[in-house]
Amino acid sequence: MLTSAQKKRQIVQPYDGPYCPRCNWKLTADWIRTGTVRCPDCNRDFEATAFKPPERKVRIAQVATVGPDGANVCANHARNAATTSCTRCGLFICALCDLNVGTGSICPSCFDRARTEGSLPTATKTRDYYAQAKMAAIVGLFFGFFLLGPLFGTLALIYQAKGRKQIRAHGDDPWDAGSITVLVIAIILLGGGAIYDVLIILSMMGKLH
Amino acid sequence: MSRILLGRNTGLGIREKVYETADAIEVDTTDQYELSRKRVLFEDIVLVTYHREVGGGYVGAHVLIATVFLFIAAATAAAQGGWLGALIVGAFAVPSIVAILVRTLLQVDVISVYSRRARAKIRFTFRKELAREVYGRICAKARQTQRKIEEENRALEPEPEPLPDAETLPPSVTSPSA
Repeated sequence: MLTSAQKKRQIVQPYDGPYCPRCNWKLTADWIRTGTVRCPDCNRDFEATAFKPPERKVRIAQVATVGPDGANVCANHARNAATTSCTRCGLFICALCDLNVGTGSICPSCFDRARTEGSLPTATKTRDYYAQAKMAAIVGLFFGFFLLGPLFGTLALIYQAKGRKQIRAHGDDPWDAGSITVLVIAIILLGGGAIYDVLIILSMMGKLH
Repeated sequence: MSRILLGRNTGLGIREKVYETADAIEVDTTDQYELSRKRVLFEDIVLVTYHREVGGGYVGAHVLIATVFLFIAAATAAAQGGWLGALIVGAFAVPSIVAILVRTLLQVDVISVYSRRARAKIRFTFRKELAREVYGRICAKARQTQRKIEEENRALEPEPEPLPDAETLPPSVTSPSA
């Protein structure tokens, strides 16, 4: 008897190669080719460019060939000369142990540990502050009439500042049209909302005629 | 090199932004307020496809919305007999009808990139020329990167040992002519 988690795991299939872009039918090697391809399952055409990605060969220098002078030994392979060191623990590692996932060289044990902890940068989920700023601005527009404009305006400004920092850290331009729009709405909510709230309070107190 | 936004893949349950970096295509998926990143390396790309589709889910959802509003409008007209109320309710169906017409006429261009480990999808509704350009650029980048790796692999291969000097053959004995 399968548990619900196991059933879910069965439904979510891992990615295992190219599919038909129209019907998601698994394409076998015969159908991976350049030109117009007709899917054998849905019988519809799509344009395709096929590649044969080469396996990257790694030169594993051995201590015996490099020579003992100036050659550090890999911590995992006594015969191999180290080519780099792990950016996390500092161990000397050879080309075989070098697991570089775009964030520097990591040794296999650190890779496993970081993946389990969820601290591996590529496997980490981050909070999308920019989306939160957008949501705060939109909600603020609706609730501005209920004296909540300044609150949502402030929230939008805070999230927008964090979002900008995040976008800049990714190497993108933080000042696109959407970002500027959110900033303008946040300022209107904050300034306009404050004036609106003061006027409402004054009129409720009978000081505004 | 900073990332270049290639396009988006937005659907009923998916929000993705696709970027180009020096060595890969990066896909930022937004799930609620969580952002996760996936990379499709150029050196890993197996297949890049391009096709045009209407999008059954999108059209179906708008047909449903338009039908609901038109049904309410018809019911309002039938119950009260007044056309003004029916027109106001019916007007809510107009954006969906426009969306269906636009989608049916223009369709959406989809670029799918499949590598050995991950895939990416980019959709273009209006900018068809840009879609072609992006398709060409991804293919060119993948080709360029994979060719570079092949060259590097070739450079790593040990050079074949030179052949031993050919021994001088004894003078050929030609058959005496008869």
